[in-house]
Amino acid sequence: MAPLSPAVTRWGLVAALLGLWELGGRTLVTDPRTALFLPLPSTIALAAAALARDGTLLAAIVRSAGRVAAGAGAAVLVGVPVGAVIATWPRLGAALDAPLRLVRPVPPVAWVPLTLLWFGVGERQQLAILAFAALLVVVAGTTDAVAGVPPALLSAARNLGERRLLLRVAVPAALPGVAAAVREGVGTAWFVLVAAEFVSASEGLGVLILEGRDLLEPARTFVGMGALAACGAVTDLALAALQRRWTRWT
Amino acid sequence: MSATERLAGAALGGRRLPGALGIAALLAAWALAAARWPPHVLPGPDVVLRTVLDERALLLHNAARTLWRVALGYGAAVGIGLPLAGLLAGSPLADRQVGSLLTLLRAIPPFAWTPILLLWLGIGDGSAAIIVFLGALFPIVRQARAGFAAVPPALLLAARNLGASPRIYWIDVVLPGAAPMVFSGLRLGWALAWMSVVAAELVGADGGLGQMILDARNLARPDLAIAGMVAIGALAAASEGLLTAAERHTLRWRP
Amino acid sequence: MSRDVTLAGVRHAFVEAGTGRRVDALAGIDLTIAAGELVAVVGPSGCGKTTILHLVAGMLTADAGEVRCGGTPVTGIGTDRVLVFQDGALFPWLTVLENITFGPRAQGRPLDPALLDALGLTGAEARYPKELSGGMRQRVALARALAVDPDVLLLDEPFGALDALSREQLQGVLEDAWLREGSGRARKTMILVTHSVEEAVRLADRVVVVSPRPAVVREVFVIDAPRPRDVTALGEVRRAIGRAVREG
Repeated sequence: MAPLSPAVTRWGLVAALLGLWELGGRTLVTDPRTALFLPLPSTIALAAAALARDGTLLAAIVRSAGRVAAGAGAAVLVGVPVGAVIATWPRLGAALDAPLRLVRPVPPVAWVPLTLLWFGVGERQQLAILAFAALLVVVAGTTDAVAGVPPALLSAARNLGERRLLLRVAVPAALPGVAAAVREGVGTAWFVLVAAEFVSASEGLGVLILEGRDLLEPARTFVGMGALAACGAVTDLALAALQRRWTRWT
Repeated sequence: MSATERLAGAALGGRRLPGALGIAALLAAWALAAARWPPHVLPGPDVVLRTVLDERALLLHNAARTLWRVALGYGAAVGIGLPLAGLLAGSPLADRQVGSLLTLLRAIPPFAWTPILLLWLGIGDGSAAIIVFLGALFPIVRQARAGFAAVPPALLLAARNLGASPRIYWIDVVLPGAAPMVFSGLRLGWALAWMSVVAAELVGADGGLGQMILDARNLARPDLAIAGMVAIGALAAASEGLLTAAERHTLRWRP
Repeated sequence: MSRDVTLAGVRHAFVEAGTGRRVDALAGIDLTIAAGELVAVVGPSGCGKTTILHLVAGMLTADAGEVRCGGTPVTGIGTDRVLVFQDGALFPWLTVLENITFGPRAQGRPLDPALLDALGLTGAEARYPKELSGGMRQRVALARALAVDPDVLLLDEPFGALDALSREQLQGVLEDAWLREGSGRARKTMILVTHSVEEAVRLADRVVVVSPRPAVVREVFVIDAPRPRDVTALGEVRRAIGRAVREG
C-alpha cells in the first residue's frame, strides 16, 4: 500500500467525521427540528461566512481577545514580580504566599457572582475576574520558575563578582519557566472568559454563543465555539513560538 | 541574603510565622474593608463564619450535589481517558488521527459547550457532568499517553521475555510504569473538573454550590456566596489532598 | 536440558536515530554455542555484541542469516531464552520478591525456594529496587531470569556498572549458580557479553572476539582450565585476547 500523505493520516478521521455528519444530516434526518439541535457543517460554514462578512464575528473576536489581553496583561504585570519575590525572599514570600495558597483552591469562576456584585456589569468586572484567574496561575508558575534556578548558578555568579545578580543571572535562568507560566495564565484567562461572558452577557464571543440559543440560530453558537477555540489556539501557538525564541538556548 | 533580609528573618523566624502573619493580614484587611461597606455588599469574616455555621445544612446539601456531578464527570473522564491514552500510545495511526481530533476539541473551553448541552439535555446533572468530563478528559489523556510512551523499553522487553500475558503486561508493567505521569494528569484533570463544575452550575444546573453562589448574589446575600466559595475551596483542597496522598502511597517506590 | 544456539551468516543493520543512516551492525556472524556451554563475547564498544544477544532472544529479527536454538529457528521472544539487561531492568514498583516471582507468576508456577538463598537475597524480599546497591540489583536481575528456568541465559554486560569488588563477587555468584545445576547439558547455555577480558577468561569455556562494526567473528579462544579459575595464571591467553580485541 502506497504511503498516505501526512495530511490524510492526521486529519483523515476528522474529515471523515465531518463528512458523515453532513451526509447523515442530509439523508437520514427527516425531522426539520433537528436542525435546531444540530446544524450541518455546511450550515455552520455559511453562518460563519455571513457573520464574518457583516463584521459581527470580527467585532466579537476583538472584544473577547481584548479582554483576555487586558486581563492576562495585568496578571503578568503584577504576578511575575510577586512570584519572583515569593521565591527570592523566603520569609516575606511566605507571608505573601500563604494567603494566595488559601484562596487558590477556590476556582476563579466562583468569584464571578461576587465581582458582579462589587463591580456591577461591565468591562471592569470582566477584567477583574480574568486578571484574578490568570494572576493565581502566573504567580504559582513564576514562583516555581524562580525557585527552580539552581543555587549553584547564583553562587557561581556571585563568585565571579556579578553584583546585579537578580537581573543578569536569575532572570535568564528563570525565563523558560516564567514564559510557561504566562502561557498558562493566558490559557486560564480564555478558559474563564466564557464563563465570565455568559454570566454578565456583555459583547463578545460568549455572547455570540448565547445568541445562537436565544435567536434559535444554533449555527451561530457553533461559529462562536469554533472562533473561541481558534483564538485560544492561535494565542497559545503565538506564545509558544515566542517562548521558543526567548529560550533558544535551552 | 541581604542584611535586611537576615534581620527580618531573625525577627520573624521560620516560614510558618510569616505565613500565619500573611493570612492574618489578609483577614485584617478584609475586616477593615468590611467595616467601611454595608454587610449586603461586603460582609466581614465574622458574618461569613456565622453564615457557614447557620446554613451548614444548605451548604452540605449543595456540596453533595456538586460532588456528585464532579465524581460522575471525572469518573467518566478516567474510565474513558486511560484506555484511550493506551490506544494512542500503542497505535501510531490512532495517535495521529484521534490525536488531531482531540487537539481540535481541546481548544474549545469546556464551558463553551454549555448552551448546546443545555439545548440537548436540559438543565441537570447530565449537562454539568459532561462539562466536567470535557474539562478533565484532555489533561488526563495527554499525560497518560505521555506516561505510557515513557515506560523504559527495556522494562517492556523484560516483561515479555519473562512470559507476561497481555493482562499482566498492561496492568502490572505498563500502568505502574506510566503511573507518575498518569497521576500528574489525574491531578490536573481534577483541578479542571472543579473549575468546570462551578462554571456549569453558574449557568444551568439546579442546586449545587455554584448555583447557590449565583443565587446568593441575586438575593444580595454575599455572605452566603462567600460561604459557598469557602465550601468549594475546602472541598477542592481536601479532595486534592486525598489525591496527593494516594499518589504518594502508590508511587512510594520512586527513587 | 538446555539447548544449543547457532548463528549462521547473520547480518543485521539498523537505522541510526538522529541521522537516519543505515548502519551495518553485523556483517555475517557465524557462531555455534553448544548446549550447556558458557561462551563469552568480547569486542570493542558498540560493535554489535548486544545486537547478537537481542537476536538470540528474539527481540530483533536478523536481516539475513539464521538464528537457531536447539535446531529450531528463533521467531520471537520466549521464556526459554531470557536476557539479563545491562542495568538489570528491574521493575521499580515491585519488591525484590515480586520482581523475582514475576516470571513464575505469569506462568502459574511456584518459585524455587532455594533461589533467593543461592543469590544471597534472603532478607531483602520486601525491599524496593531504589533501596538496593548496584550489586544487589544485579543479583535480583539474575534471580529473576533464573526463576523462569530458561534453556539459554543471555547476559549483556551484567556487571559492567559495578565496582571491582562487587563485580568479582557477582562473577562468583553467577558461576556457582551455573555449576550447581550439574554438568554438561544439565547446565544452562550461557552467552555472556562483556568488555572485561578478565571476566571472560574467568568464566567462559570459550571466548569469542568480535570485530568492530560491521562485525564478524575475529577469533575464538578455548579456555580449558579447571574451575574455579585463577585468572593470574591465565595471563598469556588474556594478553592474546586483548591483542585480538585491540587489533579489531
